[in-house]
Amino acid sequence: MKVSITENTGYDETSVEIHCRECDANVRKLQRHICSYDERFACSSEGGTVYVNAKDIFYFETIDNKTFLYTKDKVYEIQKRLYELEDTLSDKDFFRCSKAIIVNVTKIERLKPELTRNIMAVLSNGEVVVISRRYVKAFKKLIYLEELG
Amino acid sequence: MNKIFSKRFLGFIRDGVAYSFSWFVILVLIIGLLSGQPDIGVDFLGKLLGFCVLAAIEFAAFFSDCFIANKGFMLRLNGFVALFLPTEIAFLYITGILTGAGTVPEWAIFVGIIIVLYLICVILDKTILRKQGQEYTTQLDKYKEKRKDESAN
Repeated sequence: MKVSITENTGYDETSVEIHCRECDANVRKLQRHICSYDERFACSSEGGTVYVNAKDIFYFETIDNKTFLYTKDKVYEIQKRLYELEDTLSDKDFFRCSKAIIVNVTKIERLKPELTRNIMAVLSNGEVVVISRRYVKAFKKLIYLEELG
Repeated sequence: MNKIFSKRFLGFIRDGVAYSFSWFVILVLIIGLLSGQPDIGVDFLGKLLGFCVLAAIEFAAFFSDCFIANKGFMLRLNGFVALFLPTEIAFLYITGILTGAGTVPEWAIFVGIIIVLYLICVILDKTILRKQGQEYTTQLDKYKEKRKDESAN
């Protein structure tokens, strides 16, 4: 892979452009990697824009076609869909735990399976997020629980 | 009611009615065969279906996450039992299984069944699932440690 840097004082901001023969899985992975480099999310807050670091995010939730970002004690609206976020977020730290929620695994403090086959995930700020039974298998695989049987 | 919400809620009711109605018909047939009355009347089947639909709606209301999200199993179970008990008693009277004030043994059997089923759910939740939860949490902590090491390197 050829990497080149073009310097020009006329540029307003740094931009990265990928030139490829075909946009395959590797190219997409590279794109995700570049996008996640910045690891900040622009959110709307009382008319202004706030940038939140990925490590401060507890979870994302979609309610009525709007996406919200939750930190320890604040909620912001974000102009991205969950599937778009899934592409940019680290799949080792963030996990799609239900149709409407992506949770930061590193913020989960305690897990409690339920008779309904869901898992209740208690976050470090005391909030509770449900890992829906449809996503439980993938979650166990992520934290290597399946290997334990 | 949005599309996903209604689809999920209706899916719960559909599955609940299918399971409960099938099992009740099988149970009624077994009891009928053992007591020498293997016939089931259309009237009884209709009432049973109505009861199963109501029970499934009550179950979906508490367990589908459509109305109560992010709540523990015990709260859901208690809410469901509180709503389901009157429905069950009404069914017993409508089908004629209970008449009038009922006898003490009849009520004792009814209450006994409810308590036993409730206790089974509570014991499962408080013992087996709690232990499983501790195992899950330990494994999660290991994973988080591993991720921390990977990020540091």
